[in-house]
Amino acid sequence: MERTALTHKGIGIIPLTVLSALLFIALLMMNAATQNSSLFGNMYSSLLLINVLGVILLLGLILFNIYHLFIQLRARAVGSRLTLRLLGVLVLLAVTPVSVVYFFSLQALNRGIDSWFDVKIEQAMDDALMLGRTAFDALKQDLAATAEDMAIELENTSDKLALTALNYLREQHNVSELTLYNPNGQIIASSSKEGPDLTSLIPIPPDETVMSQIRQGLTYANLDPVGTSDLRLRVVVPVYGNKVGSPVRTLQVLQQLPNRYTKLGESVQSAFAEYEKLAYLRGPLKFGFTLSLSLVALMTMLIVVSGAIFTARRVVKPLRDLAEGTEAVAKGDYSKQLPAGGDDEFGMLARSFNEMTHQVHRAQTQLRRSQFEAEAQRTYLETVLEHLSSGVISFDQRQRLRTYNSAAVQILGINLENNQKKPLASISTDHEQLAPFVDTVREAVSNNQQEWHADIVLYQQAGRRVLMLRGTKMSALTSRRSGYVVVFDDVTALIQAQRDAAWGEVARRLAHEIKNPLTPIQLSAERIRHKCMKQLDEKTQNTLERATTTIIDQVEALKTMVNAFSDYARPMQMQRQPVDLNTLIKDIKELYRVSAYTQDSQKQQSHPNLSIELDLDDELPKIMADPGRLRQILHNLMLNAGEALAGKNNSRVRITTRCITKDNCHTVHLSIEDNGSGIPPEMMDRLFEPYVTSKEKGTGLGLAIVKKIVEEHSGSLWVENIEKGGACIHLHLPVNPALETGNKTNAMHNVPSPKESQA
Amino acid sequence: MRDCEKPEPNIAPLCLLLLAIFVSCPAIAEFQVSNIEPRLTKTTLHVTGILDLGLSDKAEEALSKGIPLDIVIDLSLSKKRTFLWNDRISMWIIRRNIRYHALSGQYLVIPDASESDKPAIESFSSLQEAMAQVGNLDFDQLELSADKLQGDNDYVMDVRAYLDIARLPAPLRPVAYTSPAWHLNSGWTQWNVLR
Repeated sequence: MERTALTHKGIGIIPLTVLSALLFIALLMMNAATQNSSLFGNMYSSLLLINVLGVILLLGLILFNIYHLFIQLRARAVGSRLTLRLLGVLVLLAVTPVSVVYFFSLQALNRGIDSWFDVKIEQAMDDALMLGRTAFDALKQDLAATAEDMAIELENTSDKLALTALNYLREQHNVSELTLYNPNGQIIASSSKEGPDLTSLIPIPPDETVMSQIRQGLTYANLDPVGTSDLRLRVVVPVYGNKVGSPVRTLQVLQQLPNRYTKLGESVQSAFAEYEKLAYLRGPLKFGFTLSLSLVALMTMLIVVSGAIFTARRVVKPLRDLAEGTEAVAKGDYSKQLPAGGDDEFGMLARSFNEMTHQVHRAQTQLRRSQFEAEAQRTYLETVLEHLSSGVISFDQRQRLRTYNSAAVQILGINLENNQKKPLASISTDHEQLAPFVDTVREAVSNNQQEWHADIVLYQQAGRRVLMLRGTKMSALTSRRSGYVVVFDDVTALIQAQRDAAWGEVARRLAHEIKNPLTPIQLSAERIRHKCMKQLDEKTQNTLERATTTIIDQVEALKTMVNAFSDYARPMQMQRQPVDLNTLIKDIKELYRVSAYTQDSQKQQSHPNLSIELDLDDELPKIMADPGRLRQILHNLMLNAGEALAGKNNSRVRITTRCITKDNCHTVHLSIEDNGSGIPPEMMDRLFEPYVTSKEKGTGLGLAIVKKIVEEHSGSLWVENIEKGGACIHLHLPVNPALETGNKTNAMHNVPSPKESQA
Repeated sequence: MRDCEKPEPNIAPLCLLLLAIFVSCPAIAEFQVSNIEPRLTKTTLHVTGILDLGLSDKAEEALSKGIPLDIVIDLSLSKKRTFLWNDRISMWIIRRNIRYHALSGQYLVIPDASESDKPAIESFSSLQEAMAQVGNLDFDQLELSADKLQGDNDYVMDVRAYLDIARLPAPLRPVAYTSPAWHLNSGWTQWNVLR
């Protein structure tokens, strides 16, 4: 699984601090409210809600961070394990003391509050209340007895006299208020010591509970609080009628207690009520304190855990950055820079790392730039080498082929790709014709020559090739990188051109230096014969006649030869016109078919068995050429073929024409093949030179003139021996010589075919 | 009447207490507005009615231990509107206090300060009678400004009664806030105003 980077999703210190401060303030306020503070008492619910929400928020943040941390842990994010360990340690160190303090504080709080309420005090309070009630009960019983006496006295009193009776009874028994109710609860009469009640004009009637008790014939006597601090006794008794079936009236007696009784009673009441309230509030008070303490502890722990998460991230961050940086460097990314950090050791480490990666990055950039420049230089050199007409081959120290260009392939005529990184000797092993080349190079390398050059001759299928070699030892910092480079040129054509030029010069000089004296010689010989013939005897005349005839014939022969050379050396005047080469070939064939049965004056050979086969391309276009010159070419070639086939049975000449390119024919190919004995190898490279002939007779200019005419037509020719026997002369003639000349000019950068270069 | 169980506050962890806020048994005792008869004259509103106010055991226990309880009765008079919400004209907040007098064994009902026609303290020998007195509405003259009562609009009265936890002693408030036994509230009920 690929390690991912630990992202920085977490609690920010500022939000955490603000949230913690707010929660702390809310806790303080809530605690103040618990302490019976009138300021925050009404806000208790809001404060509690704020604290609960804060706790939930903190808890959510923590859970989110822990979840996120575990996600990163599962993804094996850099630094996640260390963060988790550090977080665990920090949480353990922080939460444990808080938990201990919380536990003991809770225990102390509960015990402390419980200790406030002593069982003895509680019992004393109960006893005091009971004492008070007992004291008041005695008064109640007295008042109840008095009330019952009054009720007896009122039994015979009618409603109309009730008020008088009540006034009398009140005065007699010294009570505060007497009120007589009819059975419906309506007041019949009321007598009060101090007049109507200050708070109400109507005396307060007994409630329903009291009335139901009265209806049952019972007496109600109780203590009634009056106002905020006064007490009075209320006794309610039934008043029966003296007649059977009389309605039962109700007498309510109110007796205001003396101030001393009231104060003591109220004191006992308030003290008991306060104690009871406090005792009751003990539980809620503990709950409140527990709640506050728990909130404080929980909030503290949550804040501590949040801070621990933040701290763990903060502490691990430089290490995580460093780990990510080293990982990036390990992957080759030297541009990685770590955050600067502070002035601590992590910051120093980060700066050192950044400096290191910066140095490496700069060195790598320079190296890459150097590689790019070297590559550009190499491409440049390869381009130059590729377009050189000279062949270039380089070898390493162990004479293994390293580089070569296409010209080398072209000149050597082999595919050097197969010999890449192979020893030089393997080239000559695979290609014996290259042995002179390989031997020359190996000898120079073995002699450790710094610079050398040599001319060698190779005999290839295309003929004799003359190569000019120049070798240089390449120096390098290490011996492994040293080697040799050999530059060679095919100078065959150059030598041939030089030779052709030399022959042209010879022909011109022959025409100039030899032809001119011949005519005087011939005229002198004729004059001698004419002057001296009459003066000599018959025998001497015959001798003179033979001598002068010989002179004249030989001079004539010399003239013929010199004229032939003159024609060869003279620039040709071309009369170009569209020529159908196939028609011309057919004419030549017809000519030779007829001459086969006639005696040619000069060529005394007959070819009764010569078979001329034509394989002509019907779509051959007309070419711009001099028809007379073309006819001369065909004639010379047919003549050569006929002479090569002299005396041979079943002789055959095959003439073939083809378009070099089918779609857009620019060049036509003409080949004349015979089945003679072929051309001797030693003559192959000089076949088209003047005076190179295998015949006893002839000027040796036939093929030289053919070559010259072909070249005048911007064409090329070459000859090859056929394996089955015989020779074949190939001609390439451009359809439009002017266009072809342009094409050749444009094609100078292209690699010529071996046969074309041979021509 | 079923008691509502609560976790012991002194030992319960806070999480359980917080949980108790949301997950707890419902209170049996409840406040209900049984009947309200509001009647509107020119500038005076007469309201009579009965509120069934039942205290929970916890509240009864607190009352018997001397904790005074404040019962708040909210009266809100609004003008009916067809397409919009009702337009509140006036609102009265009646606060009645009930407490237990241990020495006499009486339940004391202290009416709102605005109820001047009633005694400052009324004592009852039973809690039911005291609560019935607290829930007994008989307001003869709730004053209204004449400019707020226009035309023959229909009016409604919203009534609500609830135990005011905020007036409880501070130590008791955390328990009261976190326990549904203390959340005694009738909710708003609406009554048509007679004219």
